[in-house]
Amino acid sequence: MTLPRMTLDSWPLTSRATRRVTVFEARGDAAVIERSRSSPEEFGAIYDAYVVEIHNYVERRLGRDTADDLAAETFLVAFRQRGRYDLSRDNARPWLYGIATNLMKRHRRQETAYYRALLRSAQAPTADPHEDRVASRVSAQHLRPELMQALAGLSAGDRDVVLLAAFADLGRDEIAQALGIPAGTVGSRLHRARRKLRAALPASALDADSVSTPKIEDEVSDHE
Amino acid sequence: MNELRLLRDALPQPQGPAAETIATGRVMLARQYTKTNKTTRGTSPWRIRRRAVLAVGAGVAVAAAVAVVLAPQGSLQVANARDLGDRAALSAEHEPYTTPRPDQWIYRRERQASGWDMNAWWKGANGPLETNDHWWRVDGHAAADIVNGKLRVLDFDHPGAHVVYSGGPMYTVRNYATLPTDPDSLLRSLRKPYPNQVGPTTDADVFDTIVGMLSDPLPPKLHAALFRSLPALHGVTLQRDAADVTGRKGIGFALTDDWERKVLIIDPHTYHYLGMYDYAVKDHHRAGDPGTVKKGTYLIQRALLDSRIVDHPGQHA
Repeated sequence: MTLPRMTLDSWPLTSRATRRVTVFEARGDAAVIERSRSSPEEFGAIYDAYVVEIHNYVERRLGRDTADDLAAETFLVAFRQRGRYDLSRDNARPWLYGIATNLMKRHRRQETAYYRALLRSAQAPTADPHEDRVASRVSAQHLRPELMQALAGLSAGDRDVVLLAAFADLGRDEIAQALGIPAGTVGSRLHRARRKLRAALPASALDADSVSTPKIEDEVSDHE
Repeated sequence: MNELRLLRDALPQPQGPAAETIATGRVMLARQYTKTNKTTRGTSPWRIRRRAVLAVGAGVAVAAAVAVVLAPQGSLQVANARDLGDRAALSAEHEPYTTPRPDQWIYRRERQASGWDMNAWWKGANGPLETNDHWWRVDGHAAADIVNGKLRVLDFDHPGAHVVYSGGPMYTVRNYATLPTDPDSLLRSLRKPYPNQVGPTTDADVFDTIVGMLSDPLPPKLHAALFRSLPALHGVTLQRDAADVTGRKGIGFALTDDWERKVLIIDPHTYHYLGMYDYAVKDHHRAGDPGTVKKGTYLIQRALLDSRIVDHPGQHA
């Protein structure tokens, strides 16, 4: 009755190293999704590779509790829609971010309320002292009231684009794929959103370094 | 500093999902697999692992293999029996359940190895597989089975019926709601002796009781408590590779009690109970018996194929 043990044994999913490798080197999503059409359990690899980052994205916009539910739901929806996945796209990230963003539409009020709550909340929640970006993070947190106010004031469409750029690190074409809108529209929405954010900030906040800027910085033109 | 980066830094940094949250999401997803395609139930982690290994061997782009190799299914990360109990409990807590009416029936279909003989028990059960359908009325007053292709209903209240109620299990669907749902209290209840019991209740007895209960539709909290109490039984360990008598692969709780080993198998994705087997891990002679059970003899090999609440005896779905 017992089966012979396989040679590969268990490995820790949640180790940082694993997650990094999986997230940044995972290619072949299309092949996995294609196989999952006849062998559904293959889809588990997509879940394991992306659940943490999708969760983080939702958590930033709606808080952790909602993220727990919504991240799980994202993958249920993705699983059901896997038959319609465009297999020419080898990276499933834009697709998954698009589904998560779509599901968040039900929570728009909650999202703006969340930003307003952050606006009022005490400054500088715990920053990791070993984090090399800690200085810039602390200074950014001083600007939180202005940023939250501006974020809450954006239209839903503009906010989706600017937050996919900021949090998901997606390029213009990937955002266009995620939201199912033309790349030009992504550009104009992003331009508008960023202008409003800049307008809300003191000039001194916008001059200094630009290390590790999101990649969309170089890709998106500033005009329609 | 640009405003996109400011946004990332100004908002609270995400804490990420708890390990439990990740596991729950994976279970919810895995439940979809079985809905889509019943035949894939319980077979995947091994298949994925084997494919991953083959892919590397075949020289497929390493990056492509990395995604598969490093992102295995949930069951592969199960650390020990306690971890498995926690995961299964978490899943059980989310199972749908409707309390049955006393006049409804529990239908159970099992497939098991035939050939077991009470008077020659040491020979084990190694005969051809047979499928049995059984019905029990929830209130415990009647039962039914199929004899020679015909439904036989046993009405225990019928005048002349010689059935002693106390002969059945102490806990059935009729009184599951009265059982405690924290694991320690539950184990105390399951260890309570029967009125006519000789000797103490061993942990192997409790293991058998739990196997029986897992074959029934269960209230979610009780279901979860059963999974959490299994690892607390003396001698229970995790068995990573186990298959039921029909060949469905799963992950098991194993209890070794002297010469005998019992394995309870659950589906590695849905954590549903699949079946159990019981075999001799060494030769054993019981005083007074004419025979000796040989190491490797299977005493029970049983798979649960269906278990549900129905309205009438003879009803399958």
